[in-house]
Amino acid sequence: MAAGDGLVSMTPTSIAHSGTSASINADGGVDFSAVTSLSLNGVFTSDYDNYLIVARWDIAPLSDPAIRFRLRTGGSDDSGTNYSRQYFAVSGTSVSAERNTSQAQGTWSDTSEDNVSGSQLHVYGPYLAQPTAFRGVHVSGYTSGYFFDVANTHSLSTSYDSITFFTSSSTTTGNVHVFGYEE
Amino acid sequence: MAEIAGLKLIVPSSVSATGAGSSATIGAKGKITYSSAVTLQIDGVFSATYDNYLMVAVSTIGTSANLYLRYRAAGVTATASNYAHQQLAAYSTTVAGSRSTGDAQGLVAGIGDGVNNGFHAYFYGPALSQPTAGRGISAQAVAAGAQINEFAFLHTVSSAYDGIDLNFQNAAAGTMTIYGLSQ
Repeated sequence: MAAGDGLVSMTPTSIAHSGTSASINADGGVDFSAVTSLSLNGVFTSDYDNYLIVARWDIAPLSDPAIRFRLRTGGSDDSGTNYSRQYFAVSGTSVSAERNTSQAQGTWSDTSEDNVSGSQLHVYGPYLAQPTAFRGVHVSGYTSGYFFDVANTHSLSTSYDSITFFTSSSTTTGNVHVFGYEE
Repeated sequence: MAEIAGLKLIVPSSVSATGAGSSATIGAKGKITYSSAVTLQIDGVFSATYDNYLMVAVSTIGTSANLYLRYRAAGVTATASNYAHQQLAAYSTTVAGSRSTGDAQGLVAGIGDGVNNGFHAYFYGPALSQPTAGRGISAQAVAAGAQINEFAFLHTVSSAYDGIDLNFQNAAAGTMTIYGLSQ
């Protein structure tokens, strides 16, 4: 049995944003401030099948401070109705769930809370020319805990090298970093 | 603070598959690729080097099924009724739990009948001479859309295991990597 490194930092080849600012830091993560969308280009490659994306969000407290995403290739987001999601959320003693199909975007986090949030998004096979699966785990709430788990699927058998995150209306500030699972 | 790789990709000693026309291979760095595999036997993957492990997989299957596991030692599968699991499933507006004990196998993931399925699983102490805990998190594609399945699985025997037997129940294809968490 031998062993190699497990997680590889995927430095975007470029980024694009709407909002105040975004920049790639020395470790390959991306810092952003008051953005409504952020595209990370060139983070999925043929070197790896699966990816882990870790983010810290500080979301402006509007009515629907959710983080959505779209797969992207050739500089264009796939905004077709090719996404499905299933989530469950736990807040206090309340547990809720919902499934939505034929959506024009995936969902990473979806919460009525504001302030500091943290999320993981596991992305299974985005660069493979087959449909892609996503699994998000999200925590939010500045003074109370709230968690949101979500599974997303994207139905097109297309290879994607990039991803765009966006909000519905709020701005968000934080850091996001894409890692490839060594294989 | 010194920096070392925290997640180490493991190259198993061997892998084999059962099922009509099945195949399973190990890449140079440790990536397991399988096709038409109903079961996979992965040996020489758990050792005294690491206590805890992470498995990441993207998989397709012809018919929706749960993925079961058994631990192995020196090529012998532990088939006695020493496994238990707790499941949480979210589908549509339902969030449901179930528990099973005294089983001959554990339950680690759900795999849907679409082609976009992914899961990751943590194994806590399989090579230690003590009972083993595990946690499986899957993004499942089913006909109705996306589905969430999560599992906590336990094996109650105080033995050390170096391998694992995975039972997809139906022919599956995909890739899988297993990492040790540095300690």
